[in-house]
Amino acid sequence: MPRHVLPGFRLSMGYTLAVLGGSVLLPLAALVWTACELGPGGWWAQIATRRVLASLRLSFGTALLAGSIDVVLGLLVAWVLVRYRFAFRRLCDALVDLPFALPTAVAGIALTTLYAPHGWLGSRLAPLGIKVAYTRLGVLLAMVFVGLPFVVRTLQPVLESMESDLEEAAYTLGASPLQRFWRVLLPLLAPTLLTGYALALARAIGEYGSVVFISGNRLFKTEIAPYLIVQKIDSQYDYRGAAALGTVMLAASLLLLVAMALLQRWTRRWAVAR
Amino acid sequence: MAATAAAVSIGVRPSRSAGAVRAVLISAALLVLAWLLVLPLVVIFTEALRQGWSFYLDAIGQADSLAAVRLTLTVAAIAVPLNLVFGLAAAWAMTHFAFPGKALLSALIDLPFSVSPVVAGMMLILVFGQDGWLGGWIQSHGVQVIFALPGLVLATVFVTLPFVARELIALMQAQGSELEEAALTLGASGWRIFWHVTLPRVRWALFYGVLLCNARAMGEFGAVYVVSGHLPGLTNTLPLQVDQLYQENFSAAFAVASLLALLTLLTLGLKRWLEWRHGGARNGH
Amino acid sequence: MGIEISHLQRRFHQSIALDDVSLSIADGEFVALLGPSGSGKTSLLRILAGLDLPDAGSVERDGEDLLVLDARRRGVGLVFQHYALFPHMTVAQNVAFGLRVRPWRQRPRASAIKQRVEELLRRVELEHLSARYPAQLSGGQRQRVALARALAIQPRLLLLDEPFGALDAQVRVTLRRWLREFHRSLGITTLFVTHDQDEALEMADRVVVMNDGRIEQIGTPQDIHRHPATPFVSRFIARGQAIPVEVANGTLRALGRAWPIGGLADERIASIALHIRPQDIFPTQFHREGWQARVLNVRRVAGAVRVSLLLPGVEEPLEAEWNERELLGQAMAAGDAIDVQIQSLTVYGCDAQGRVVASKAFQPPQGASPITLGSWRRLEA
Repeated sequence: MPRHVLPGFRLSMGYTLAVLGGSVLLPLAALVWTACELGPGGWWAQIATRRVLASLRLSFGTALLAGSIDVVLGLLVAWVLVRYRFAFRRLCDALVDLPFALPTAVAGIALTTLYAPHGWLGSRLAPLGIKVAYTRLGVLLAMVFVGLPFVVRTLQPVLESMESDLEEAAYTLGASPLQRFWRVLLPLLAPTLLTGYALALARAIGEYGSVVFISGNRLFKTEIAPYLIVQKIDSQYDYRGAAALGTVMLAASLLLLVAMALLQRWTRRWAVAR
Repeated sequence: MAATAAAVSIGVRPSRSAGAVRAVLISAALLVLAWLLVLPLVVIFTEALRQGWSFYLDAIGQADSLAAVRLTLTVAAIAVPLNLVFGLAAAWAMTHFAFPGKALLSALIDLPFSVSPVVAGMMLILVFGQDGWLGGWIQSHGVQVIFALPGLVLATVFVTLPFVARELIALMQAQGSELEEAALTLGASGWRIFWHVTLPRVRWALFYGVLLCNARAMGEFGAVYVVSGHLPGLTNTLPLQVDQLYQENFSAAFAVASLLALLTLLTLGLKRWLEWRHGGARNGH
Repeated sequence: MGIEISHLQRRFHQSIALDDVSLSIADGEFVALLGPSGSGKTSLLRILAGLDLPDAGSVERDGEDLLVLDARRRGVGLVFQHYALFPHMTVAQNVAFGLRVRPWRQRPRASAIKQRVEELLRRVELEHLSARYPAQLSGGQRQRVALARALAIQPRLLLLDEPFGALDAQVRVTLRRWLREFHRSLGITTLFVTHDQDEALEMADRVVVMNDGRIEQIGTPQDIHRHPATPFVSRFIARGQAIPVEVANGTLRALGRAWPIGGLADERIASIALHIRPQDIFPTQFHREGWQARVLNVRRVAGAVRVSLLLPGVEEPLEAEWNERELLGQAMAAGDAIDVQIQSLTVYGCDAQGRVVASKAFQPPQGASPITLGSWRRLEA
């Protein structure tokens, strides 16, 4: 049977490949090539500096933590939005997309102003000795902000389409609401939660605009990796160095993509055919 | 629907504890949303208007700000249609044909989503910059890419590439090829099939994708920051202008930022409306 | 020990799910709730399980109000239509679930739980699959796991919701027999819901036929089949067919004959229906008291012979069913004229809502005595 019954394969495929090639593959190749120009020794020298390592620790470490917080908060929000009816529910539902739709720079300055020492929340936390703006805590907060919609939007369709009979079965077998949540719902939601986590994580690691303002960019302390890349390009014209750091971030992104694909396969194994 | 049935049927006798749990959870969720999402939004508008309306309008009316608005609109006006065409082409190829490497293609289309925008900008500099791969060739033709409009467009195109494509691919794959094949047997040419059969069916998903693409295009910061050169009045898009102003004039920065925030609210509103009116059409029933 | 269900009412928005449903279930009985979809049988089951509350009416077990207990504490085991096995737990973990979620004080020791699970799995003949996951089991196996899981909590009432609905015909037949034997060995009061008549009639001690939220008839399988109490039961179970009938001046006219009829003084009766079952028409040598019928077609189905007949006074063909022996060696083909005898006809007197008020089964060669409608007996023998 001929594969291409409908016309337009060559045109559509050709155009798609051309665009992808030019705007995605070509730049990717340039990145990898430039980093390779350093050679393994040079690459390592670029990465193993105190500054770069500090930024990587910050970006990755904080993102991992932010993702976890997003999972908890996201589960709470998704649960409430799906399972309960209350005033302004639809408004809240629409609001969840805010971090996704709001330009990152705008979010960045808003968060900074909010938590700066004289800001609305910053001024209230200062007497307690808690500093948010220009600290790692601020970076964490911004990453939580950015990642929340990913968890909520990943969970919502799954929660909505869950058949109730598993919970009812647990109920008739004597499980309390907490036991139902812990023993039945949570394990069932685990793959979805992990997917949401991976998405939030990927976004948080690479996020620039929302984080760079509140981080304060203190040397060795609150410099995120994307900020370092910008520094290397803008002020140092160190393209190779920037490329080296870029490959690290790219590798992380690709790893997360693969992890998510594997997660999808794992989820399918558990689904019981009806 | 099934889940809400559970909420109804399991809480059959709403005990005091179940009601209390519900109240606590809803309050907690609302608190999270208010703290994390609403407050920043409120801050933007409050700070923008802190020095009064005249200051606000003045800040927006500045030459640099207006130039930034124009530039942002221009970039979006070029990037979004380009990605629209790409989305249609990619969706057509992915839906109606079988070929090896579909998963790889899909992953490539999704790639810009997972790459840090700063890395994206850097990659473009490595290709199109002065010392980049194509740098020499471009310069010899008298064109400037990086630190000029083409660079901004390219960066925006890269970052928003998947938006339209994903919506369309999902919908068109759910819809299948049957109608197009039927049209083919009735003698329609490829373009006719595309215009008269496919497009009308994906209208709303297309609109939705364009909406999201546009919002991201106008608001993109990281990628554009790297390729821009920050020349106020020339290569500053609105987000870049916000950044610039933030160092100089606090309230003015927020004034300009509020424009973008308004755009966001408009986008969310349209998104909501679309989902409400055409949720079914989007999901490809 | 028994369950008393009294006058349950339940409505959902515009539709009535249960309308004045009353039923007594004796201890250890195996009762089938039989009816088409929408008849209310699943609603009744869910109310018994504690997953729903009636708008009115009561349910008592041994004189105690069952409705005040919530599903967790009722001691009712429910086997769901699609099994509802926890996909992330092994078979053994699924079965153990009800024991492991018990409040601390009532929870058996881990070793006791393990023992009980093994014992149950042995009873359902699945002990070799205890480490598998539900996705790795066949439908019939999943069904048995669901049963073992429900039994683990030692319920005093076992509810099965269309237990074999999702299985292949062959598996269904095997499991039916198995479940019947299983129930005999267990002795737990069991109520199961089905829309499959053969299942209900084959397995149950008593059958409760439901339609449109109401109980049409309660009785043993034979009873329901032989003496359908309402036109619905007659149609649905006994494959009865309605025959056009006229009642005037104390006379019932149908099939070209007339019989005197009494007991119509009851003013509730708004309409009369006359039903005949396929088994009640048979060929005869004596055409004196019978009818002459024309054969429309003859079909041989699974050991029975089904014949479409045209009888005088009836426009629509009537289905007759008999086995080869009853054919008396007659060859029969479409177009033949044969003599038939009717063994039994049932008259139903229905009120304005279509509920049967009075009924009577009678044999057509009546002689002089009138058919007297008695009041409707639907409750159990």
